Amino acid sequence: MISAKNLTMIYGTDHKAVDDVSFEIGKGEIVGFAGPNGAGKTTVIKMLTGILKPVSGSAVINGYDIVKEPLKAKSSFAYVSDNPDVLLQLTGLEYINFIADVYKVPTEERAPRIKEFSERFAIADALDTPMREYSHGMRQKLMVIAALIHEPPVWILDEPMTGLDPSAAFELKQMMREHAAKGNCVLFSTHVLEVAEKLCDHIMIINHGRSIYQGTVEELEASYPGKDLESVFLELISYKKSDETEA
Amino acid sequence: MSNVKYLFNIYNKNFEMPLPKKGFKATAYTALAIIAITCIIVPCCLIVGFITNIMSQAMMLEGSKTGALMSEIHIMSVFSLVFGLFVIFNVLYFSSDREHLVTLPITPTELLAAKFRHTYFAESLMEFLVILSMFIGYFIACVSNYQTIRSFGLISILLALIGTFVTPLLPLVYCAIISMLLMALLKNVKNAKIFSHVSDFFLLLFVGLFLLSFKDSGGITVNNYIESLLAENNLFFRICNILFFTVPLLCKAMEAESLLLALLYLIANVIPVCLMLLIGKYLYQEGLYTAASLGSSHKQADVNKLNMKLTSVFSACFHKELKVLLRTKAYSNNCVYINLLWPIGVFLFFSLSSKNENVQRFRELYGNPSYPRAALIMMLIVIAVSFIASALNTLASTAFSREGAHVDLIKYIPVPYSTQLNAKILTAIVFTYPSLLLSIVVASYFLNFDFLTGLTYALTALLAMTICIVTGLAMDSAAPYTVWSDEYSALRGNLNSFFNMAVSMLVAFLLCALIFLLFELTPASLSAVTILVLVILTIASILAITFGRRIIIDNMKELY
Repeated sequence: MISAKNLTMIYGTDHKAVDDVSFEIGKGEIVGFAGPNGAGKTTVIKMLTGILKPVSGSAVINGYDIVKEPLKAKSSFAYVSDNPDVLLQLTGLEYINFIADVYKVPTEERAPRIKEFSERFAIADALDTPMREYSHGMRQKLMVIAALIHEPPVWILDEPMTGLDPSAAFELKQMMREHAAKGNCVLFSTHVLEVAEKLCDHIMIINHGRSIYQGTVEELEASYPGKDLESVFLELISYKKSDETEA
Repeated sequence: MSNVKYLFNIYNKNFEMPLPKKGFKATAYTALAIIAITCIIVPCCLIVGFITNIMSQAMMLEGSKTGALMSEIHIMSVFSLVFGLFVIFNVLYFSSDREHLVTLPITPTELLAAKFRHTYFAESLMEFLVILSMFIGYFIACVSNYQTIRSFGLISILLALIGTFVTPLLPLVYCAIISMLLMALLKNVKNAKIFSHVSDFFLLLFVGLFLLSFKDSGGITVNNYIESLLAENNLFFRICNILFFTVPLLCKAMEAESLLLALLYLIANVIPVCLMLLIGKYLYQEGLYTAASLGSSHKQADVNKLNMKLTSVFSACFHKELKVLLRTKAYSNNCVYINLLWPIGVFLFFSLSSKNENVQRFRELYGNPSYPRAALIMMLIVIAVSFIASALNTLASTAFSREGAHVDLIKYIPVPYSTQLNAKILTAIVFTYPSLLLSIVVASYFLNFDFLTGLTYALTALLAMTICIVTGLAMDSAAPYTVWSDEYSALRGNLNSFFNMAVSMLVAFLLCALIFLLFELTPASLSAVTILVLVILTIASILAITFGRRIIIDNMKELY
């Protein structure tokens, strides 16, 4: 459902933020995207969602190339960005309605969805309040609700757990599982390796713009016997870093 | 106080709008900067200097050497006070960096001093130039009137240089003190709307006071203005003399060439700053607490009763634009309500100048078919105002900057760029064109022009406005200013709006000059010239829409 081939992004004239990254995410998969700060996770996600145009390579979402058929591709995914401070002048409901209008969600479908999601995330009471007055966590919840309102097959979530309270984080993880179980796919970036470990079918690790691991958590742990995921992750990153320095 | 220096330096760096450094865009921005300087800053300074010179000469003949200079500095100070209040409010209490800065080990006084210092320099740059022009105009008048360069001395020149930089200080100090006192007084109200209406109140107060002060002298005319200054019975300026007490002191020191008065002037400027810092020491922190706890009344939403109807994609984008503009005080004041100035201005101009001979003469000539030049001048005014009004409200030239850090929303929602652009164009039109139409209707009441003439003006305004809006959008889409600390910064720190204004003024000037010369130098009738104007504007509008839209959409694809 998500196919990235040789994605490369250069900021300015020489800062290569992403270098030749390729991966495939199939139906029913939840994939965690990990890496240190500045590794290139958000840049990859921005290329997948059409915010950035790759210098080379291609991204195909649900069968549609994001550059060649942008509107069809964009209609196929839900995107939660890493910053929920968007259109704060609107009330929560106005923002959801705006996104629902943009994705042409019929009234009879959106009303029950808004009701269900807002109750699951315990934000229903605040829907008529301007988002300027929301806490960071409430804004994050609202971004998730708005992104999912059109029930797309592909979810692309950039650090979606940040700011969520434990019950909302639990609900979101539950929803991700339900979504994947229906034959859809989820790609999310995270710094919390435990979440990736418990939730993902596969993980991808990126460092200095290059993909350094793709596979299951079990396979990764098996190749470093006796070590937990955190230690493996740190070793992988430091190894690659020293490797590059030597090179 | 090194913390003040560090903070000040950081503010200055953060305030700078990033501009393209290489390629065509960088060259274009350099060209725009040159146009902006030659079309806005230089003409403004020349006009202000000229007015000061003329008025000073007139008043010097009656024995008042610095009366005109003082009155103009007073008007400038009132502007600084009225428009600085909202800026200071935002900077001191509502900027997004507030929550980060208050956690740092710096005193509220240091924070206040740094924020004030930054705002003073950032807001007063243009003011410095205008005040300098006033002084130059004044000195030229001295030489012309007294026929000798010795009509002013070294102290005058030094005071003028100091006054250029110090004059905007007192109004801004008042703004800071008023902000802190209001925050303290209204601590228990905790409603942001009350705070944001204070600047409106002061604007109305000073405009009302200014108009009231000319009530008994038969309207605002240059003669009445000068006479009231000479008689020293003008209520507005008497109040200003007390409020901006440093200005009379400056003028007296210049007039008397007195070193003692010059020192007094400097001390008189330092005292309010110290007072502000003293008040800040006791009230600023409390005000920050109040600002952090402000909010509108929380409504408990019933999810079953909320409106969730489907609207079209275009309508959704359009309504989003409207809501953002109308619900943000900085945008609603500077982009929306500012348009009301034009019809109100036209009304006040004709009402208050009912006894002015020149205006009376123009109105007579306008109705006389034997003098088509009056009608031509009216047409030129419509063109110039349409261009300037469309640029002044910055609706188009900040359309992408207003999106802020989330400008990438434009990229990832499945809405064609053309649809999103149309929503932005319509938003700019919806707030600009009605005010232009209303201005034409008001003018028609005073000038008694017929429906067809009104229709011609309306069409001219529509076409000029369209060109200006597309130009503004193209400029802002090329290099939007999206990383700002508060919404007001999106407007005041945005060079795109400044450049758009410069280009609009230049285009309006060239177009008007061309039309005027065409009428004067060829045997073309007024009707022929009018048709030609409409044809030129129509072609320019079509070109702007066709090519301009393409450029904007290409720029939108590059946004992130």
